[in-house]
Amino acid sequence: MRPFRLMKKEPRFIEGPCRSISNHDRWGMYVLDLLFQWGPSLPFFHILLAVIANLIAFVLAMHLWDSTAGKERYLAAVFALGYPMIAFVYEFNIVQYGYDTGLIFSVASVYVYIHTPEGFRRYLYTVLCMTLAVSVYQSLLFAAPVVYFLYLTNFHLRDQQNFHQKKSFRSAWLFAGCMILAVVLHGLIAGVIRKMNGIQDRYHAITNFYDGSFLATYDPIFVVREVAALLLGQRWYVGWVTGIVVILCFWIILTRLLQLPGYREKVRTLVFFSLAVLAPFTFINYNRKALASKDLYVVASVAGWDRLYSCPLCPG
Amino acid sequence: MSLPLLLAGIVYIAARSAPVKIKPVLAGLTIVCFLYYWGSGTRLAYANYIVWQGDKMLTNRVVQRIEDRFGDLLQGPAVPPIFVGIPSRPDNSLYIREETAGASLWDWDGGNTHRILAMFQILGIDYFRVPTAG
Repeated sequence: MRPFRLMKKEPRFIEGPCRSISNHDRWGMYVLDLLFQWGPSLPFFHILLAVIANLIAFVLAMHLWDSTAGKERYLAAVFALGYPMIAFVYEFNIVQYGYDTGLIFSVASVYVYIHTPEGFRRYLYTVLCMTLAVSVYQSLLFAAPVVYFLYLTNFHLRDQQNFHQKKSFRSAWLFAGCMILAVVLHGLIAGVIRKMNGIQDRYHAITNFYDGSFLATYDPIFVVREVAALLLGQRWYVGWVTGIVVILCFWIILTRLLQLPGYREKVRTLVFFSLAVLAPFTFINYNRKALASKDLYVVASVAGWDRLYSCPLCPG
Repeated sequence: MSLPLLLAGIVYIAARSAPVKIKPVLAGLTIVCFLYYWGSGTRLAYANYIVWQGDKMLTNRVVQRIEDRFGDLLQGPAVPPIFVGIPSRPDNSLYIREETAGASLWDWDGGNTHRILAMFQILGIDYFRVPTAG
């Protein structure tokens, strides 16, 4: 166990928590901090929570991909729980538990979307789960399409009789719509909180996230190269054995696809889904800006919400 | 945080579809990955620890240098320090830098004043404030 150290990304326990977290538009993180006591000197309990939350998110994802999962789940667990991307845990910091709790919400949004019958409640719960995930840490939103994509891929390979291409396309687009709604809802809530607390400044990376310039600075080829480097083990901390595993897995999946009747259509479908996931980023990248969420705050201001409520989170 | 799940999903789907002869190979490689991740995670954690120690030492040296020049900061006139540049790192295999892992608070986020100030304050050095426009 390492001595406590100040984490680079969140030196927020010096500033007032509400101001600091509102500055990052992470109101969900603030609520979690209220529940689990903000700023402990030695966050043993929080690290335990992080490990448990990470485990729950993985188990939920596994159940979603295949409820009859066998021993293969243990192989997957090594990568979901041990991949060095989550070296944050080793930093012994006080925010990782929040990120992992947000991951549960992100995976749960897919779970709810798939298992709730078609109707208003399905979309409501999905959007709520996604909003909670984003409210903890913005980039957690991207975990949802990843889990959904893998669900579709697995379903595609294993249950060919019940797979309806058109239905799955529609479902994927609706899922993307839920993601957009979640971002808008999160922006509105964050805007109200900022307004009520008179917070003008915002962490620059978050501003860039909203106006699209954060993603716009990422060259798609650069992103693909970076992800490939991480998956293929070009980074020393990932190791080249991971690359062998990934190549072997792609070979197995491709071989399996080629054995399926009408495989061309299925490969085309998978390519389409991949493009659908990439499309929003590409759009932002080429437009250099997205709808600025700050404009949406006008709605809250006009409605006078800030006058109706005093901040329950920040007395005084 | 999506990448580990993506990797896990790919491995899982492949493992379910893999021929019987390939499965033990995949399992063996996964065990090697597990051990490797364990090792690299530990190295990254140690890099964090050692960089934090270095940050503390540098902070103390900075305060000491200011007090040597201007006197006791608690009693003397207000001194507005300006930090220019980022500290260099020893060419040492223990100093690993991968994203946040092994990064110094002195140079993270382009030398962010709020972060540097927070580091001073958590070490009990409460003499400085972030400058305001006024």
